[in-house]
Amino acid sequence: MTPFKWATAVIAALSIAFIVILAVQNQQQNTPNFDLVGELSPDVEGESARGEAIDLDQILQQNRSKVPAQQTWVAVNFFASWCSGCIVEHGDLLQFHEEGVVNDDGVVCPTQLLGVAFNDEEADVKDFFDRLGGDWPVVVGSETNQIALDFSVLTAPETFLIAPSGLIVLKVIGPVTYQRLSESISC
Amino acid sequence: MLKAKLLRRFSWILLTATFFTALIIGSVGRSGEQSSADRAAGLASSIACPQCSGQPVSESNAPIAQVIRAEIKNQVDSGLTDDQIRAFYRTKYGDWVDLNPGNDGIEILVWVSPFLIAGVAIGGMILAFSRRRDADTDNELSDESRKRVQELRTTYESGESHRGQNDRE
Repeated sequence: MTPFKWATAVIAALSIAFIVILAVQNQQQNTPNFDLVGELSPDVEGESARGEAIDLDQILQQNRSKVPAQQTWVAVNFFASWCSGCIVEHGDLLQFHEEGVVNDDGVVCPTQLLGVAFNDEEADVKDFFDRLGGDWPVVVGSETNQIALDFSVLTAPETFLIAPSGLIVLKVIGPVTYQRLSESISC
Repeated sequence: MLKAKLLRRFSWILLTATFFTALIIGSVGRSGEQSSADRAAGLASSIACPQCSGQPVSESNAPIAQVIRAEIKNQVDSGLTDDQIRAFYRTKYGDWVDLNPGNDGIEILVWVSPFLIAGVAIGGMILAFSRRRDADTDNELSDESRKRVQELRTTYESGESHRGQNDRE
């Protein structure tokens, strides 16, 4: 075989190997390859539309000085006024916020609902709550982008339930229901 | 003959110089000082929107793409390096959101293989040309054959001149 043919053969072999590698490599998935359930929750810190300071870490720290039955479970809900799924779930969130969760012994488990506006304007958020009701703390402003990325949020609505220990025990992509939240809480 | 050889050599030198100048400008020119807006735009065009099909966040109108674009700008302004910013999004959404292939493991082939293939191709061409030149040299006549050709030519030419004289007569 002449050197020229050798060179051609080497180029052909390299090209084929390259194509094979690309073909057998893991294909890009359009589905999230992350799952925060079982991991410690990122912090949720910022200012609400009413000017209150919101700090998830503070709630979790306060839990340490309480007996388990009095420790607070936190639901962090990413929502937006432009999102139809957020309107769908709003009634269930209202129920969670107003009624809380009652365990089998009839004891009300301490819960806290925190909203985080996702890619939304403060005025639109206020208008959303004026129309649909609810007065739980909602983080608005520029910090919301960082919080959404910390939770690997894809779109609204997404809800994370955080146990008193700080571990995420539930992640719901799409509208959340009162039942899904309540059945994941025990105290 | 000598002039043609010199011209050919000069054209090769010129070609090589152009190639390396382009390579140097292409690789070094980019590493110059960039504005933060340019850096943010560059990153946004090489990080995939996690909710879209491989579309960079710079080209997507999905809400998460808007969030990431805004956050990339903040991250650049806060002094994070490109690598740190890429690492952040890989951690949050998976390696696949980084549209730039890595420079380790099997992904290094993407960077190396074009040079490897170009090297092998150029080497092959040089070999092929040198073989052809050698083959041309091999075809040169030996002294004996040259003598024989000369004899035949003389015979032919004398025959031609005789025929010319006959025709005139």
